[in-house]
Amino acid sequence: MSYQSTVSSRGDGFGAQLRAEWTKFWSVRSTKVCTGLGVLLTIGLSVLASNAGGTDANNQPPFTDRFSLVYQPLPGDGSITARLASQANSHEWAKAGVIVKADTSSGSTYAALVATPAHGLRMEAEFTRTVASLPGAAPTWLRLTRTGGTVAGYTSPDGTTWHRVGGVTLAGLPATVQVGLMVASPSVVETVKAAGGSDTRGRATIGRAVFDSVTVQSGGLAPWRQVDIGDASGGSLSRAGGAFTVTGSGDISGYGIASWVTPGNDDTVSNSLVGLQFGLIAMVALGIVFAAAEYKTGIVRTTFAASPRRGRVLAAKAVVLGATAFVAGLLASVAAYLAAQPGLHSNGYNPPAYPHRAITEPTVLRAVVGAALVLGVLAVFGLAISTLLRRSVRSLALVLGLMLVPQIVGAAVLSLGTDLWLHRLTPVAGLAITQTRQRFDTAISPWGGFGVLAGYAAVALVAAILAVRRRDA
Amino acid sequence: MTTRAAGEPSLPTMEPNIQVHQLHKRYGRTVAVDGLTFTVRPGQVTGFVGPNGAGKSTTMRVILGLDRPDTGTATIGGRPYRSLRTPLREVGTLLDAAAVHPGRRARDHLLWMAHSNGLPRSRVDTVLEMVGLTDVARRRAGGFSLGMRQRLGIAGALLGDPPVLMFDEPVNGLDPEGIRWIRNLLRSLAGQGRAIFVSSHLMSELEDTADHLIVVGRGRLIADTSVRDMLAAASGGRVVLRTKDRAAAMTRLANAGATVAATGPDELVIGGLPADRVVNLLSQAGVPFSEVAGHRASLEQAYMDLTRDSVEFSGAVKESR
Amino acid sequence: MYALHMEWTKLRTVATTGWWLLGLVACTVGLAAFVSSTVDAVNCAPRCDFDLPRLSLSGVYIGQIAAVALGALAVTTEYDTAMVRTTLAAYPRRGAVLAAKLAVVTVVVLGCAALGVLGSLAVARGILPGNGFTRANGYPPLSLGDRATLRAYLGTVLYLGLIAILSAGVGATLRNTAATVSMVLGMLYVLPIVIPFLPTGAWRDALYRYSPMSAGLTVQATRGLNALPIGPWPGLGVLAGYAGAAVLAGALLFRLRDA
Repeated sequence: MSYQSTVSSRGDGFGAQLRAEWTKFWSVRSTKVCTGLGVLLTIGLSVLASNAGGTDANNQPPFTDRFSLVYQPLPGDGSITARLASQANSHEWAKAGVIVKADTSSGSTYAALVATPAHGLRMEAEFTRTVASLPGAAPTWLRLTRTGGTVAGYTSPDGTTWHRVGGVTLAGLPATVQVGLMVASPSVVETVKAAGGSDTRGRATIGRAVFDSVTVQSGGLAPWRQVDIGDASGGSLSRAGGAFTVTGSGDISGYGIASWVTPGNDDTVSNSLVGLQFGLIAMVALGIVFAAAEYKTGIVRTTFAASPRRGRVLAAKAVVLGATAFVAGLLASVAAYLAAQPGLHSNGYNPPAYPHRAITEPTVLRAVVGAALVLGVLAVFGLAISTLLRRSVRSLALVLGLMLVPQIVGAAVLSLGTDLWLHRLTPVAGLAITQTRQRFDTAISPWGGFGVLAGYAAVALVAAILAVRRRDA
Repeated sequence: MTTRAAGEPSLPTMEPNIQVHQLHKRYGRTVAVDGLTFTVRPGQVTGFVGPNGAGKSTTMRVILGLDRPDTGTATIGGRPYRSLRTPLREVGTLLDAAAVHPGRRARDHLLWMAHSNGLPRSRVDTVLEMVGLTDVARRRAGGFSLGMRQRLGIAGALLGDPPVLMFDEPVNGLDPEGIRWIRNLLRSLAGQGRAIFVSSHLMSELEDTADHLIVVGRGRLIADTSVRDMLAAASGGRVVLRTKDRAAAMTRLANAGATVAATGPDELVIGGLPADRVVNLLSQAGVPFSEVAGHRASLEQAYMDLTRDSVEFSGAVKESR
Repeated sequence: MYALHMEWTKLRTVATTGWWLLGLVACTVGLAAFVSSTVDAVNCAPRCDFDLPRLSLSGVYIGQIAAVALGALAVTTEYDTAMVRTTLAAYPRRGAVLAAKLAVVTVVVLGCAALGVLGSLAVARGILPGNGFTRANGYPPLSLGDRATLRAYLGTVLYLGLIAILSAGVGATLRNTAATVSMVLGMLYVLPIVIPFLPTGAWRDALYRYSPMSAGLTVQATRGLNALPIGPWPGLGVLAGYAGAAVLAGALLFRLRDA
């Protein structure tokens, strides 16, 4: 007289666990409240921060024209040729080469063909145009030819076979221009973290280059003279035989030229996503409560009695939670980014110092989607810790402490070096994925940082799975 | 009384039952279960009785694979619980009626359970109907009375229509009407051939419900017996005597080797002597008596006798070891 | 008095209270030791004007989490376990019950905060001279005899007490431990994290003044006071305002709502 169940089952596969955990998760009102609050606060804080203040980066000069020039006039068409024999590595963006410049005043138009210690040969013009960039370094032959309003650049390994690098038409080029040799070497910019902000200061470097075989075609009668253009310092010329040894500091650069250091150093993308700080609290709390509630109410016994394969239950929980937090996080980060842009624009974050960056731009997309990934992973991290500790309060104290305290302590009291290490070693590293420019406070690469956070979450989740399998429920 | 000897092998069988064999479980220093062996058979209600702290809930958790035994085994139809693929179709349980999320609707509580075992959604409505919660299915469980929570828990146990059902103290917090409802439910479930395992710390709750009893105290098996045998054994051939001269009767009977206990102003309970011997002795001695009858113990009394030495938390308990 | 005694007994007999109090003291002192050991008075160019009292008190950044937990738990545990009904049956004057709870948890937190802060002073005095913070380099040893230093230390103790009150007030409003702890930690930490990323200006200063943690912890500052958006005591006053508002809201709801 034994009884058999009359109810059919579609089995206890992972899909069944997912459906069960999803029902459990979403059928509680506090889940929806917490998720919704997280999304709204994220957007709200981003909008608030975007309106909190402006930048004067576009009020700064859009170019720099400070370098050491050795020159003579060139009436009408003609060319300057020189062999750059050597260049000191005073700065990765030190420049040495030949130049055609309208006159010796700072800001006059120009075209230059220069070598750099670390970034190859470059032909640049008008503070805005990179005509060409190609591999190469001293020693090399360089030539600029002026024909009417056009300047063309050539390089040669030996002074006989010449290769055309590019040409550029300069607006407002006078009949007689100045041609010659140039040497520049930018300052090293050091940013020092200070209480509540940062100080930026420059340390000048002096570049040095040796030229020989210097010839000016259809000119060459006037004597060579050296001048420091702009407020550059440290320029000099010494001649020995046919060799010109030139020193100088500064840079000739502007927006559109790779060596340009923009006066605007803010990462507008990560600043737009600053609301993430609220989002992460909400998602961590969501994950922690999801697990702790089972222990608090005793439902965990019902759960494990219904699904004795506990590791899979926890895995299903993590998938449901992580996916929800990711989707909510994506909604929040996309909305926060879009909502923050008008505020930034009205506060002076505009081109050229701050080009407007579309959300579809790959690095922006990485930051925005990455923010959502961080929220998903953090929720799972919270879930795992709370499964291990079985209490919501101590789990919140631990996980939020790990996420919030390093950010505060680092900014408030630590030296920059220690601060950077905290941002590499704690789960805070994950927030690096929202960064889109290298700054003094960049601690770790975007994906590297995300990897650190994911590592924390993975270790905690594995530990939690082992614990629930071993522990009495 | 047919107490199973500890260590007697229980043969594995495919019929729906619960088998517990030589179970030991301790938490830290506390021994919760100490060598428990018993079988719960289909087609009857098996009561699981013992004072608070006797190890009943622990045993049930071990049967469900929630807690690991230190040694010994517990199986469902011959298989360990944790090897079951869709356990809700094998064993239905009510462990703790309070174990529902206060913010979750009754229906959703059953729905996630159904999903976890791949059971059809329609079962949720069926069991809600069975326990009479259809009208409040969309209310959040936080607003439920204890009785409603018990019904919700029982609905969860019935979800997979399982051949084995385990209820831990299901009568707690129920009103008399609810108690009657649950008794009838248990009887009818057993009548369908299911094995029903119900725990209680009060024998009276099981008196009219259980067919079989497993009595535990301090984690040990005290009795494994049918209710009828237990009642018979509890009477123990004792005799109730009504007499106006209690003192004389006690003296006379005690001298004849009986154990005599005064249970009322004119009532004695006598053990160790059959009724006709008592009548003879008193008649010879001229002690007046009005009635001599076989003693009929209540199940409660039998249980109290059995567990007297194993009540852990009673006031003046003496260490018996 | 009965209410005080009742609440004291409840707090004392919960096993976790001791752990949280220990955590408060240990984390405060531990972080102070870590920060003290990472700074260097000599190799610090170009910015070397260390505010040593504030630096030695930075353990509060972790320690206050325990104060938040204690404040929240003092109130919300009652709702988690429905014990509040027992409490109110034993002592029906709700205002007095809440006041007693606040008083007990505040006194306990203040006591442990004082321990943690004195411990921080001890470790800072032990560690800092080894990193070049000597009288010769312009850093006299930390001393409570100095008025500004005394204010920083005393203010930090009061700060932790106010944090516990704030948390208890929010707890009485929300009646849920996890929600209370999350919300209070969000209130405290998010603005101070965000502020350094904002451009300097009026908005930023306003956010600083209205952030309970940024404003409250100005009480620790002993250098560059003129550059701060708010003064030390007014800053602590801002936090007291938040705590008062939270307690008021909690008390009103505690009286109005069914238990």
